Amino acid sequence: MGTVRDGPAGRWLGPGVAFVAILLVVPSLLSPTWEMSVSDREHGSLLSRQWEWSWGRVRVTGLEGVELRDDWNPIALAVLVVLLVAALVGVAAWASRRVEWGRGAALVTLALLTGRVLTTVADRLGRSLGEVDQGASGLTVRSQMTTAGTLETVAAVVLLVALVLIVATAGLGGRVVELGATQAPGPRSAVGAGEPAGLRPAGEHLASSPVSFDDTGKPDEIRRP
Amino acid sequence: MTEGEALAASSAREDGSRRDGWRMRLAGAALGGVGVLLAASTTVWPTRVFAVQVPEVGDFTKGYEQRIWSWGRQVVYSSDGVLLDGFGGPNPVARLVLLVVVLVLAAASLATWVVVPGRRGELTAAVGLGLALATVTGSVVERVSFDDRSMGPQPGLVEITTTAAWLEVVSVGVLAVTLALMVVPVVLLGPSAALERRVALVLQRLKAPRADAALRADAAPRADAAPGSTHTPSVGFSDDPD
Repeated sequence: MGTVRDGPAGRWLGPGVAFVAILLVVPSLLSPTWEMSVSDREHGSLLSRQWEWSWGRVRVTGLEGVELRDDWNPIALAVLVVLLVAALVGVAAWASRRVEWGRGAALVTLALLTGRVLTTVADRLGRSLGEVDQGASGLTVRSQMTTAGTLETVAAVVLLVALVLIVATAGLGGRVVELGATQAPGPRSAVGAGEPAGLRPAGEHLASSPVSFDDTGKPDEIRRP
Repeated sequence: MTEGEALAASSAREDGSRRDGWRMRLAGAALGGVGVLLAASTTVWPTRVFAVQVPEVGDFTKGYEQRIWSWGRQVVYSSDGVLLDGFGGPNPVARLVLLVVVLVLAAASLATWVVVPGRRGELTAAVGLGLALATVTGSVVERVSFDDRSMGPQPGLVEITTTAAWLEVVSVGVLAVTLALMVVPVVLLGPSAALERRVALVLQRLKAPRADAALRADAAPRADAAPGSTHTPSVGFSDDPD
């Protein structure tokens, strides 16, 4: 089915884009995505620096780099790691084409990761919109997105592209299957056309009721004394 | 039974199965819709309130109440009910827009699931639900894992989890169940088909006593046969060559 649906380039395009998107999220696990520094305008000395990770870790240092605070958020970190691993497994299953559910698994896991990444990107975007001007207090506040933050923002866009690719190619596949089913002769064609890419084997619902009646065995005994 | 009758019976059964599939999809979409609606409540109401009930001496606010929305909006009221607008935080509009867009997408994808049968409808719904689930779960995790100590020492601080926050938690559960109902039959095709067959068998056995009674009535030679006796054997004996 996969070979009919996609050409050699199309076969690797979707999983490739998805894999790149997942890789782009990985730096945000290790590096901060947002950085803020407060310095004295007159003397130019650095009063404090603050780093924030997308999964909630906040690290603050004071004068001369003395660490004032380093709070981790292990639950959010665990959620992100689980989502990343799940997305990798889903994309690998889809790329291997050995399992029927690979496309569905890739889609769900990538959608979950996309939702998570979009949330942190939107959070960061709001942070840059709500910049506080500290000019009057004689302090210079400089805040910026780090490289990991930029990569994560790009990842959000690439993840959305990957999701669109998966759904678009699935729709194409459905049409191809439907066409094949209507061309095929025999009684199975009607079932195939009705359920272009259904989840159950064709004709399963037709087979079930006679089997269940035969199992009881009662009608025959009564009818043939 | 002639070939035409067999075809008609087959198409009738197919229609029934298609209607059953549509009903199942409608039930799933309704469940997902409940999850989306529950999550939508957090766009309006705050999920957490921090209140300082015992003001310190010399504090001009005489205590305050900080309301926090799941999408990041924060508003501080004094205990007199006056809005303290001097509070400045990150602009939450981007996250509100994201939440609204994601929930609207989820609702649209659920509608697509009902209308479009087959794999394409399922995949669309899975994307919408996955996005919504991750976004709502993100704010729940953020709230649950928030450390009060990061706010600094605040004597008399009381944290209140609002009803909207509990609705948000329920929404995560409902959305997760809906997604699982959609995904599990695809991923675990064998076990779920076996389970479905077993459930069908159990339902059949539950119906069996009624069929037995009808058959016994039929077995007795009577001029006025029981009216219910005709439809059940017609399924079981139609394929019999005799």
